[in-house]
Amino acid sequence: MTAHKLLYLFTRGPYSCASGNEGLDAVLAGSTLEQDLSLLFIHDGVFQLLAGQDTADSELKQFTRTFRALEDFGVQRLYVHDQSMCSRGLTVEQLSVAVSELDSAGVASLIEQQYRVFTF
Amino acid sequence: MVDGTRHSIEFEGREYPTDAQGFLLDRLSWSAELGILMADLDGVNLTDEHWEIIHYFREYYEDYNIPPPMRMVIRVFRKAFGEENANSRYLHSLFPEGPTKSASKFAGLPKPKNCK
Amino acid sequence: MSTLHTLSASWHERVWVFEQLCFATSGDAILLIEDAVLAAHSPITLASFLAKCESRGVKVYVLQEDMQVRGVHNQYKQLKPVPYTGFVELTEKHQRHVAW
Repeated sequence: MTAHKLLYLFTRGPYSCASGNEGLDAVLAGSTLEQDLSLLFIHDGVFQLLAGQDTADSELKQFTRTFRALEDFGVQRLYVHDQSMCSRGLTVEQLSVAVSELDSAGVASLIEQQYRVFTF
Repeated sequence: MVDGTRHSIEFEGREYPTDAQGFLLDRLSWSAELGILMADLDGVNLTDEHWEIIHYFREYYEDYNIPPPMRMVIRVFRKAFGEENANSRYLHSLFPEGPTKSASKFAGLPKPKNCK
Repeated sequence: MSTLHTLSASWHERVWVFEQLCFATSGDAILLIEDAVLAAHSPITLASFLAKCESRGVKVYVLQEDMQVRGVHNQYKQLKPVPYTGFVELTEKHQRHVAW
């Protein structure tokens, strides 16, 4: 089976809805199928990766830790949309994982390379 | 639970709630002694090799909220015990239901999402 | 290799996607469905979005049935109404789909 390029878009912040967690599950499922996976964090989705999340005093599980493990699962392409970062006052140094920044044209061309795109 | 049955393990006068397959519901209530009992219930006598993997599972889960992928487990096992036995087949022989499922269970972690 | 982008949330709720033109490129299509069709009713909301799409070579469609049930009347000549069968044709015509 040839590897397909699959892109997972994260568009929402963590914890207020399950979409980030569901996206992670989908990524992990994709990784077991040995597909060529990319993740793109865009709009409030960039907050999924913000370092310093502390769920100790809440009932919530810090599912976003798993983003840091993705490299172990063979998933290495993590991107953030630079404008989404910038308009939220975020820099890549504030994130908990290493990512590459893409401008809007870069996002468009990333989408163009994909076999399938999944939005979360 | 779907059938409404509550499951638990009794150990030293205390009840430890589990799911239907014997996975601890509260990983923080785990102890090494409880791990030995859980393995015993599955017919496994824990050796140093098992413990190396169980501890790795606990650490990895603590950091990443997920059990480690098999290739990482093999890497850690190889580092501890050398090349000879470090392969997926040998690790499966250590754990009756496969390392991911059984090591998670004996380590007091929840059932991995991709396991039945 | 072109992309069909569907936009399902209202302009007011997901203005950032409208502003980015769904990251669409020349030859792509954008289809407004569900609450995204609401903006078609206002003669100003979509004006600049549609103009930018046109200059980028991106065609924009709106799902007829979703407008009809909401009582929405399309105010834009650049916004082409399509029925469900047109939706199906668009998915066949483009290689991939992004749901925004």
